[in-house]
Amino acid sequence: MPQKNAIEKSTLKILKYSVLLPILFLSAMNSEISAMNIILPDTFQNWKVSESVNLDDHDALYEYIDGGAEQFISYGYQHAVSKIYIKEGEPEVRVEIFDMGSSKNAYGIFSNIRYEENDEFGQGSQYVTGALFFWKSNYYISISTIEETMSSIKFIREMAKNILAQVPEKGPKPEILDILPEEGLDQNGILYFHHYIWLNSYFFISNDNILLINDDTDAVYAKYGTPENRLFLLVIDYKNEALLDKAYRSFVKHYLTVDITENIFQVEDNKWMALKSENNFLVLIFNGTNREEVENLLLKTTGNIQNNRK
Amino acid sequence: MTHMITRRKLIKDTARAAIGGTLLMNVPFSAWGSSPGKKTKVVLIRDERIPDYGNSFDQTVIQEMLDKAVIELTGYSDIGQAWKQIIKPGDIVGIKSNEWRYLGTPPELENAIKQRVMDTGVAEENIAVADRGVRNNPVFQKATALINTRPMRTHAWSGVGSLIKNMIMFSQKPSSYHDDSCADLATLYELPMVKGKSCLNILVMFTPLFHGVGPHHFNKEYVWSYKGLVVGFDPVAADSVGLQIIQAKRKKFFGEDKPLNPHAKHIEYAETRHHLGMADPAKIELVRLGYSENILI
Repeated sequence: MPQKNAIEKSTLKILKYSVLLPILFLSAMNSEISAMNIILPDTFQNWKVSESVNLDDHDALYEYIDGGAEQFISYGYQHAVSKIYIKEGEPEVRVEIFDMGSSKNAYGIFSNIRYEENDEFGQGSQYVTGALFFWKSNYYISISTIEETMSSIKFIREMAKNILAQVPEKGPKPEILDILPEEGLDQNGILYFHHYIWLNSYFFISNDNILLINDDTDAVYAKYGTPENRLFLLVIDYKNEALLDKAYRSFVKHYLTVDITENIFQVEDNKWMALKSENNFLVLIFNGTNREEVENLLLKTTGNIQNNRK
Repeated sequence: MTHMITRRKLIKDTARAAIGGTLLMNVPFSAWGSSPGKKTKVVLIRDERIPDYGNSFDQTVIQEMLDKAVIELTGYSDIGQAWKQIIKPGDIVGIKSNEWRYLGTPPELENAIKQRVMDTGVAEENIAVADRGVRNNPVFQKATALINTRPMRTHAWSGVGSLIKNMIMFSQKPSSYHDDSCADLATLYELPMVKGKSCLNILVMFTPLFHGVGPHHFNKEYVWSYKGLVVGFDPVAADSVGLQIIQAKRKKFFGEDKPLNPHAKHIEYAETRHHLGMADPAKIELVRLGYSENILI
């Protein structure tokens, strides 16, 4: 009966991949969503949940966030839980926890959305009229109300503390941030990303993906100096030389009209810029008013890359 | 030794821009104003009486603003005659609105538009106002003319929520237009329910959102009382005007150039790639009416 055995084995294999693995995956996902649900209690300090939504895939997120789902998906969004808390005489408060799959993505979405940052909550937070945003470990958290009252503000702060107490472990920030020179760095002007859409976040470079950024390339944008005198540093870690070389050539071809012979040069608006590859990193500096400041930032950045790789 | 480098024009398709481009609207060519050498006319009207965010509107003020804008846009001094250049009595009219919960099209504006459409002789049952339900709305399904109206706001993926983007609900699958930060939204105007039917565009700039935070991209901190309407036949030109105002506000508020994140490339591409209208400010004749303080453009 060797033929029958072979068929049985083959059937088992199909069953394993087509039925059991998805079940295991769903079960793992459900347990993660359950864990996130536990973080948000049904009642909290006389407020109770009036609405609860589990967002377990991209379609659910599209449906839930009118227009903003792609931003989260570009940072590796996994799942989310949203609960609305109510209390008589008070405006409702919406609490949302997004599992971003890694702490670097949780930091990334936070860095993309925040305008100013402090360390009051979690590993970085921002409060804007009735809304608190913060990140810790793999989670990005938003607690917001449409109307600020004494009670709703108190709820927001206490709920944030309650969530943080249940997420004890901190997560590491993206390693590429270690490359940023400290001197002159605007701490509110750091953006981590790995989707080319965010290429123009601080300084317009191109509508197209001319730097070949993808999910496997870590990138960080950073502002230096003051609003009146800004330098923009962009560092991309391609992780392999072939892609770095291709990206370098793509940038020269699409952004510059002639080949360059130096790493630091002047562009048509008399601004200075730098372009240099270092190990598997590409370093770009834009908007310099003089050669010296660009050179100084370039030297420090490439120095940090060399030290980080030792 | 250093080299002076000239940067390549980044808008690759600019040279193939709109002259001779596809005109998809049902408005007469002369009114559209995009014949070679002629600029597209856009009217920006502002009124100090428009209230701050969260307050209710006075419909008579809105009606007055709309009438003045349409008179200026068409060149007819009589409001009835002016609207007859836009809508015919036999038309079936869909007013494409926007119902975003934080900043939707004000019902008072929807009513003002509807009133003028009825004044041209269109029967009330042949007029509908809708947003998400347009595909299943029997009036929109039979519509011969579309009026597009929505507030402008920054948007987490397309840069801004624009008039062009407002047509996304005519798509069976809106998310299929999300690639490359919604770069090709202008192709929505090729959909059978839309093609050739766009006849007036009213961008609401009463209390625009100039910056977004959080998952829902809204906070009252970042709306301001601009008190304006941008009205045009060309949705791209109207969006371009609105976009310039939003960018100017961002620069003023943040104290430095703060590019939209992401860049609103769909407006630029609506001209350079899809030839739907004019995004280049140099090709737009902007007429400013009314309140002029902090006009930003």
